[in-house]
Amino acid sequence: MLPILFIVVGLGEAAKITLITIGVAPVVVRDLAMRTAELPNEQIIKAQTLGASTWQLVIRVVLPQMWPRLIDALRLVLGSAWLFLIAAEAIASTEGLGYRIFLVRRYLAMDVILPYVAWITLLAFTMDWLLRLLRAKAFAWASIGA
Amino acid sequence: MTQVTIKHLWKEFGSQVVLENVNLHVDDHEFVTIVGASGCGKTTFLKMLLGIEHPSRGSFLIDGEPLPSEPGPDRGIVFQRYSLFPHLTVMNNLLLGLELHESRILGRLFGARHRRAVARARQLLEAVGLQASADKYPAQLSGGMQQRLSIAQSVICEPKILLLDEPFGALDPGITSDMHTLILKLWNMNKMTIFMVTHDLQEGFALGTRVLVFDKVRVDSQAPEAFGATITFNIPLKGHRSAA
Repeated sequence: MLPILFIVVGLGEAAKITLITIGVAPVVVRDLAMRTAELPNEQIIKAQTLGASTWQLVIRVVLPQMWPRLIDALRLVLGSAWLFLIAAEAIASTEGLGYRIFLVRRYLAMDVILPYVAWITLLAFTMDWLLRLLRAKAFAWASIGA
Repeated sequence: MTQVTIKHLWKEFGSQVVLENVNLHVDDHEFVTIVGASGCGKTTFLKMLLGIEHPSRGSFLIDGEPLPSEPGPDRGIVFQRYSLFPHLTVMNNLLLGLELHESRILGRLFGARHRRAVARARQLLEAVGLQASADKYPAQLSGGMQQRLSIAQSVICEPKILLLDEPFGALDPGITSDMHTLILKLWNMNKMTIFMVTHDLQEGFALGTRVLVFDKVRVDSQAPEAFGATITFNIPLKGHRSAA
């Protein structure tokens, strides 16, 4: 699949982004679909008795409750997103952390590789922390214990 | 005027008969309480009124019109739980009904219309005693406060019929009597018809202008699902309205 991808979208940033999206989106989509199905039926019926149309149900009841779930899903797939990024960079790229690691791999230059690994860890951790912060600030209601 | 007329109503799930031959006429501005053993079809009856279950046979008319096939704004509902929206504050939970009515596409109001809606919601918040909690989220409220909000949320849409499915079943006995006063007050303010399912016989008689008892008339011990429940007692209570 990877060769086809690189033939279609080339070797630049677009290829990396496409690979990460293809790798991660199914999990996120499945997770959100399941969370949506978990919404209590009573809520949907209640909204209908308040006069909600299908469209209004989506924009006022379902989507607003899915944003924090989306952030949770992103935090969960962050690990695999990094794996996909490094894989893409290792195979077909001329820049990036993954590319450099694979470049010096053949010399077993651990003094170069280990700092890169540390960088990746730090970046991933920061992204996770930022997402958690965003969830707590923007969707305070979701953090209130029910 | 809201009149509910039910003639020869049957409800079956496959071979299981839940309700058989139910006949009923309910006038405008009645408070109908529904009692009965569990599994006797009280909740199924309420679901039919709500529009999420449909009669197998017989006619179910509101003001001479067949019951709509989906829940709609003319019939409000208060469930025992889960009928508030956790992502909205108390005020926004209350505003939601008005916003959905007046803004079909965005579902939100702005400017002068928003201020008018807020003023109206504030009145109702005061009536149910939640004005101090307007900016809290439902998860921060006690069970009794949540139910008061849920009732107010339905009432703000001025439904012709309000359906209550054991609304006070999960509350402390002390709070329940406050809730009774509140629901009678709202019922008199809005001139709606109320159907309330309860397992508490005393509550049923204390609140209702009409008490319906659902029970099975015939039981076949070999095939318990062969016969359904029906209204075995239909007790009109007089002199209640003036007292309320």
